[in-house]
Amino acid sequence: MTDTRSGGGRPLGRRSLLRSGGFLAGAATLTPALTACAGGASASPGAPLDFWQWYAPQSGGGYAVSKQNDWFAKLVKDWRKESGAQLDLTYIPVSQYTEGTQLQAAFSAGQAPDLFIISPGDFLRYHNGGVLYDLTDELGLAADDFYASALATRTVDGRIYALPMENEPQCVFYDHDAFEKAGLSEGDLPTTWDQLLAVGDKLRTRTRYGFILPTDPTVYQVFCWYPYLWQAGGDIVDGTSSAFDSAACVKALGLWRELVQSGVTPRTTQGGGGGDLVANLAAGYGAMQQMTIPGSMFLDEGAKGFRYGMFPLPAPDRAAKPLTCMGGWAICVNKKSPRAREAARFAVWAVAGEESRDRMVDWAFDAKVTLPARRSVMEEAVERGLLKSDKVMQFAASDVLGLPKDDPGSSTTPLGRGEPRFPPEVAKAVMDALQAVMLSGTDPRTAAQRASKQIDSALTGYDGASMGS
Amino acid sequence: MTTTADTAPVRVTGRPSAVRARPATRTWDAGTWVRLVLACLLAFVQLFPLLWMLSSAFKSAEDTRDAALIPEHPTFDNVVQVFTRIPYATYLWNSLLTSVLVTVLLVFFGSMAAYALARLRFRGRAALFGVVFSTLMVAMPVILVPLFMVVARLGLVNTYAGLILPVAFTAFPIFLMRQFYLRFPRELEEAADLDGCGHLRRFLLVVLPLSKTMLAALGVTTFLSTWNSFLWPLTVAKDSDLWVVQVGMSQFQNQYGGDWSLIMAASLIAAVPTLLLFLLLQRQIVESVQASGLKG
Amino acid sequence: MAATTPRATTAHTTSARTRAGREERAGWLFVTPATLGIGLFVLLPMALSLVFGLTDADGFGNLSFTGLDNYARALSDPLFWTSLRTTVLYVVVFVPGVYVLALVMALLVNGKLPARAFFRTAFFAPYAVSLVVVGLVWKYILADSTGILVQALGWIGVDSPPSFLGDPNWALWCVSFISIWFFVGFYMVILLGGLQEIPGEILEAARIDGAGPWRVLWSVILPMLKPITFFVLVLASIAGLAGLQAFDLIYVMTQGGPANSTSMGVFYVYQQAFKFNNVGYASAMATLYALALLAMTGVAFRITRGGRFDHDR
Repeated sequence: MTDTRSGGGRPLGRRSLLRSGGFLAGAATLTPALTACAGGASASPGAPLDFWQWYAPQSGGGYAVSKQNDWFAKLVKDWRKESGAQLDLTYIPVSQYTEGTQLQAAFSAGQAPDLFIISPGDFLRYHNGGVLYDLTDELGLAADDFYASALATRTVDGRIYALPMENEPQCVFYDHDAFEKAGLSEGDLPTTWDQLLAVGDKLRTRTRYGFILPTDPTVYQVFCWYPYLWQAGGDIVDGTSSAFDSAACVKALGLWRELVQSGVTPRTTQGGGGGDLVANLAAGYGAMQQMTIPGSMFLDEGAKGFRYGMFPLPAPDRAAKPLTCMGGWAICVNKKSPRAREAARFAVWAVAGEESRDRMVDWAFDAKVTLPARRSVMEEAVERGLLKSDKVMQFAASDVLGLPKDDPGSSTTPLGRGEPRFPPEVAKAVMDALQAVMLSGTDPRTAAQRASKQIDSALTGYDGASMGS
Repeated sequence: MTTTADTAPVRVTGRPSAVRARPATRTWDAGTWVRLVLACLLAFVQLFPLLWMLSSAFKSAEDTRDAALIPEHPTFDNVVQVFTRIPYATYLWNSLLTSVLVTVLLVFFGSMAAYALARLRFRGRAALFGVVFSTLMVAMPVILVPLFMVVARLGLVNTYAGLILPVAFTAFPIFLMRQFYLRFPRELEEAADLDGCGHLRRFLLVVLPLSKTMLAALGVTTFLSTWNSFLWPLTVAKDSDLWVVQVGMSQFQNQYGGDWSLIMAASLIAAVPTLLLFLLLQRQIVESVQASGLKG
Repeated sequence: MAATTPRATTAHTTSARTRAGREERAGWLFVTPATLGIGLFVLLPMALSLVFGLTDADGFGNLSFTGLDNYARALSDPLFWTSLRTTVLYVVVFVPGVYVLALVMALLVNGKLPARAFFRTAFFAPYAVSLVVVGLVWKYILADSTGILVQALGWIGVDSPPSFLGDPNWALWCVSFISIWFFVGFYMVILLGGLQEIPGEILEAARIDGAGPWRVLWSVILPMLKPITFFVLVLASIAGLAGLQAFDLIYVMTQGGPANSTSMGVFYVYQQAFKFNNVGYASAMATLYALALLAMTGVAFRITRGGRFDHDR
């Protein structure tokens, strides 16, 4: 972990490079020249701010939702009205956005956008790299409106570095017809791990698997596994040392191993991977699939006419709480952009201020269809009767997160816990453990021990921002 | 093989006049049958995936999982869908433009340098060739980050120039053409020299026209490999207006992954230009491949 | 550049010098565009990579000199060793596999065979398709439960077929096999060129002496193919080690999985640089690979006396 450091970037290493005896003098002097403005956007003042995300402008595909595209288009139009300034949206497909080279390459070459979105899993990578602009001052009192759980994973030492747009808890989607064909009804929806295995097995046919989980080595895979770890009572780290070598962890790893070994869960997924409901669940590849709440929009748009239902993640046993993990994307401002302040003003105006309330109600209840990250947005929606009339949102709020029916705006989420943040090396260690137990059939205990060692060595000398959630 | 190079008459195509195997006899003995069966088996393995792609591209969504090689309900819909859902025509155009320009630059400057390295005496020639040779096998993924930085510094990110220039100078054509020019008959050049031709004119007017076949061969393979390249265009082109076919393809897979017929249709469209080129220019390709190393 | 460009004073002695000077200038003029391009887009990035390898560059513009830390880290990184092992395994399968198959194909096409042109085209055809498309088509064929291969195995009674791309014991084999499938035509054509240069009289003479086809292959053809065999093996090994062909396949098909079983060196470097932001560490590993390759090309260069593969004695 020699590469992670807290806060702002250290001054460039030009002097140290030269001091080191003129090693490869020619190339060495070129290096600072090349990286001198690295991270800083090259846009001149007056040019439109550049905003990278995976929603708009686009059309078509398993992840394309026209309402989300329209919402962003309107955002740009409103901002022009508000500030007279232009904003350019740059669309990067989601799999490319999370796993690809573009954002990363842009940063390393000093061509990064002014604004971009990240998920909690990626927060520390960017924060420890010193490229996230401190939004606290621009945000002011509007910060209090956000749910604490949503802000926590975007806050370091009391300063806020990203503005959450939504709250995406995970649940399970299932194929109605597959259930009917297997002679199962809603009463058979699994609520425990054992039932998940049993029902998944009953749903299997020659060409259909029981339960789809992400199997590609991605951060999304780790994201989907956290709930099981928490349900069993485990955690990844304790402070800055590993807590991975635990009975709870072995149990949670064991479940995923069992799912694959018994043939309920396939070893590979189709299309865009484990989060692609259209290519897997709707295509008939599996009868149940884990995904976040907004998956319903992907299904409604990408697989019209497909009959599906949703249920909360199963728990280890009847006594255990069916905890889930809440993801969600947040807007960030590139600190090295010469126009970071203007970008910050846009970010706050777009998703945080008082006047953005209606816009965020639209986002939560119409475009993205997942729970909001702000209390006032939830209250407004309740008042307008939007929560009661929307089955998916109702399900997300009370069944998945366990919010009290009489106080859906409650700031505590009894069953939901925010997606934790870790440096990439820690996430990689967890990912390798999952890959080993699921696909190599490694003994969960061995995998947990190995990963624990990996985590500890990755965290030796770690001085970045706090981890977890 | 040691007898070929220098004593041979002008032979620009590089195909030696070796005697082939025995002339075919009318009757097929057992050995021929064995060979035929083996060849059929291998041809099946080599061709089946391509045929499967062709067949699936014309299957309706319901038949995607069908094992039949001939689609039960053949449809042209997938191909149409590919062009309507994403700007595939733009991708095709970008691929074409990039590939043609890269090919022209690589072949022209590459053969020019190769000629000098093979035929002109100048100081540092051996060292220069050593350096060029050492870059022959540098893999793109390994230098991707620094290369991107250089390109960004030059302001070429997200431009056609950024797609083209960084891949338009590689060692392979130099290596290949040098092999060729080493055996190039000196008499021809010397005849030109007597007329008082300068080196540049001599190269352009005498040497280049005489290397036409070889240049065509090199051009075809360069075009193929540029058309098929993926990682660099993926990294340097952010706007989808600048995406080439391969990049568009990989994105297409992520977006429409559930619909294999659609993906196979897109694959087919991406593969057709190069497959056609290959069928039409097979001879040139074979010559270029064969010339790459065997003859000094 | 040429330092001296003497003006002609006395015709006889200087004309040779002038010609040499002109040749010198022309030589440099000819190599300049290509050299500049290669210098800027290949050598400079290589040098930068070397420098970054000595720093903790994180891809966000932060870097400070850390000496050989990255190299020490590579040596103690189990995943580095795994990726190295995977690369070597891949090369060990790929190189002999592609050579033997290419030789069989070349012999078939060069011998008595009906529809020779068709078979040559068929063997070579995969090479004309891009690796991205190849990856997608094979992913479709090898898909779990729905792929045509799994279905075909079902017809011949294999009830629980393996997950070709989801089982670590199979995935690397599949990637290696697909690489062979893709490249075999290319190497076949090279070998074919060699076969066609073997004078027919020699083969005829061997046959008249009573040598059977195997004997002819072992005692005449293979020895005469030695230089080309050497060339093919060197080219395939270097390309395999560099991961040139495998990267696109891995990117499209497995993303280095399952369980890191296809995470070859070049992919691990990419992963460290782009997913973990360890540009410094990735550069150091890249340098290690580059050094290994350079050593290999250097040896090949030496043995072949400057890239000539035709007389190896």
